[in-house]
Amino acid sequence: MTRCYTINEKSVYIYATAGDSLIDLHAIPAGIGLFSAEVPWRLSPWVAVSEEAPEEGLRVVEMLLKAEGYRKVEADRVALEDYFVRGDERVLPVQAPVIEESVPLHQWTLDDRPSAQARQTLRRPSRRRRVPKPTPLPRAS
Amino acid sequence: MGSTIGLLASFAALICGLLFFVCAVKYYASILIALATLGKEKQGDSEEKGEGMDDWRDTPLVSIHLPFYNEANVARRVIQACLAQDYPNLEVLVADDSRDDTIEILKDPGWRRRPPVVKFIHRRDRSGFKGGALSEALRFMDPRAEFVVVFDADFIPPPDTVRKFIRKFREEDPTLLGTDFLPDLQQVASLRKPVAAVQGYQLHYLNKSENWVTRGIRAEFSGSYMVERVAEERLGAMKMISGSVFMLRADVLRELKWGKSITEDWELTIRLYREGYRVSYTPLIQAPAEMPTTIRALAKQRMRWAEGHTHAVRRHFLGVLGSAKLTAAEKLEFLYFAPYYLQSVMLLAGTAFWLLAEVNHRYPWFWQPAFGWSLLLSNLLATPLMCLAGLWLEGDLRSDYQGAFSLVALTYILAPFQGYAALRGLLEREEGGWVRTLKTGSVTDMFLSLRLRGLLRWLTLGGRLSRFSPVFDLPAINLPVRALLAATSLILLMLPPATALALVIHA
Repeated sequence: MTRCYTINEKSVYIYATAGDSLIDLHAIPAGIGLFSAEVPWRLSPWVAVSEEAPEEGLRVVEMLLKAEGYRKVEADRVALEDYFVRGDERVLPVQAPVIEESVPLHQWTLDDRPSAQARQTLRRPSRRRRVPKPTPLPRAS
Repeated sequence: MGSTIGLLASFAALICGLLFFVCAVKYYASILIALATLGKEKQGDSEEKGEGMDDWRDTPLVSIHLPFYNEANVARRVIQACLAQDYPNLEVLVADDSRDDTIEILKDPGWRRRPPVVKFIHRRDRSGFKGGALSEALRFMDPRAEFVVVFDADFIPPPDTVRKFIRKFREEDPTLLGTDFLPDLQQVASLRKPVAAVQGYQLHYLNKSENWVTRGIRAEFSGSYMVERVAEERLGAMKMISGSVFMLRADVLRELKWGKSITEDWELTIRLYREGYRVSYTPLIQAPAEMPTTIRALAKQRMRWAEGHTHAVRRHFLGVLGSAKLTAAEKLEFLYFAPYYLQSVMLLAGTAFWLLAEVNHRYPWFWQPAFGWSLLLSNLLATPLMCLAGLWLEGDLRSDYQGAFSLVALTYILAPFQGYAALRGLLEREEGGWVRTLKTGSVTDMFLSLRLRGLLRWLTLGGRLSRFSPVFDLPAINLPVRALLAATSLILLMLPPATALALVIHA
C-alpha cells in the first residue's frame, strides 16, 4: 500500500505510506469544494481529510486521484483517524481490500474520462504542470 | 449649586483616587520587588553552566498549537519559526479558521518535506472562537504529547523557546519529567502546588517604532512582564496565562479542556487554580510579537479583553474566594485582577472629579488640596514608572522611554472603552463575539537576542540554582538608575499617606 484513498460517507481520506509523498492539495481544484474555506478539512504529512465534501466534488477528486495513481481501498475510519493523529502506518490494515484499482491516465477509455464540467474544473495551471500529457487514445474499432 | 457640585466632585475624586491608589500600591511595591530581585547576579554567570540540565533522559513530545484566523500576513513566518525550534521531539498543529489566502499557505507541500510533523486543521466556522480552535488542535494532537505550547500567529518564537520551557518545567517540578537529579529540588517541589503551565514573556517589540501607539504598548508590556509579573512570581501570587507564549501540561489540558470564552486564557487560568494547580512565570522565555498600530484596533482588542475578563470574574468570583485550593496570596491577587479593566476608569474619573473640585474650590472638611494633588500625582505616575523600570531592566530605557508617556495618553483614551466593555461583561448573560486584531506582519525592530539584565535569582528557588543564570550581554548594571527608580517609587508610594499624616498633625 503506498498511495490510497478511502471514501467514508461524505469524508474522503487521501493518504500515503512507506515514504510516498502525499498529493499536493494545490492540484485539487478549489472549485470542487474539498479543501476550501467552506468545508472542514485536515492535512498532515501522511493524510489529507476532507469532511462533508459535496457529491460532485467527491466524484471529481476520485477521477483526479486515480489519474495520480491512487487506489481506492476500504479502511476503518478509526484506523485512518489514528493514522492522521499519530502517523504510525502500522495502524492501517496490512492488506486493505482494494475496491478499485487505479487506472493510469493513458488507459482511460472514452467513458471513463471526466465529464465536460469536470474537465473544465481540472483545467488549471497547477494541474497541467503535474499531470503528464496523455498518450493518444486508441481509436474505437 | 456650584459648591454642591464641587463638594460631590471632591467626594467622588476621593473615592476613585483611593480605589486606584490600592492598585498603585501594588505597582510601586512591584517595582521595588523587581528592582531588588532582578539583576543582582554577577557578570559572567552564563547559561552554559546550566546546559547540564539539558542532559535529560528523555525528550517528551511537545505539541505546538497555532490558532489562525485570516493570518496571511504572518502565517508563514510563525510556522517557519516553530519548525526551526532546536528541540528534537515536536509536532506543530495549526488550527485554522481562515477565509483568506492563509489556506493556500497551509496547503504548501513544503511543510511536509521534513520533520517536525506539521498538521493543519481547517474549520469552516469560528464556533468557540480561539478556544474552539484550540480544542480542535487538542483533539487531533498526538496522544503521546506531554506538553502543549501555544503561540499566536504574530509571534516569532526564537529557536530555543521550547527547550527553555522544558527546562523551566524541570526546575518547577523535576518529578514531572522523570528526572532524578537534584533531589533537594524534588523535595522543594513536592511541597509546592503542582505547576500546570509556564507563561513566558510576550515581547511586543517587532513594530515598536511604528508610531506613538506601538511605543506605548511596548512600554506597557515591559512594565507588566518585567515588573508586575516578576513580583507576582516572587510573592507566590496568582499569575495569568496570557493567550500566547506559554506551555501547558497536556494531561491537565486534556482534563480541563479549553473553554469557549472570548478570553479563553484567563478563564482557563481560573479553572487551573480552582483545581489546585498553579501557573509559573519567567521573563527569560521571550517571543517577540507585533502590536496593534491604531487606537481603533487597540480599543477593539482591549474591549474584548475587558468584557471576557470581567465576565469570567463574575462567573468564578465566589468559587475562587471560597476555594480551599487557592492560597491567600492567590486570592488576594485575584481580587486585584477582578476590577483590572476598571482601573483606568477610576483614574480617569478621579482626575476629572478632582479637577472639577479644584475649579469650585470645595472640599470635605477633613481634606486639604495638598492631599488631593499628592494622591493624583501618585496614581498618575504609578504605571509609567513601572514601565520605565521594566524598560530599564530590559536595557531598552534609553531607546524606548517615550513609550511611558504614550502610555499615559493611551490610558486616558482607552478608559471609557474598557470601562464600557467591563461593565457589559459584568452585566450580560452571554459574552459578545470575538473581535479580531489584524496582524500586518510589519517589522520595524528586529529582536536579535535576549537583552535582559541579569535576573535569575528570583526564578531559581531563592538562589539555589543561581549557577544556571543566563548570559548577560550588557555592561555592568548602572546602580544610580536602579537607586533612582527605587527611590522615586518609594517617595510616590509614601506621598499620599505622608501628606495626609502631615495635614492631620498640622490641623
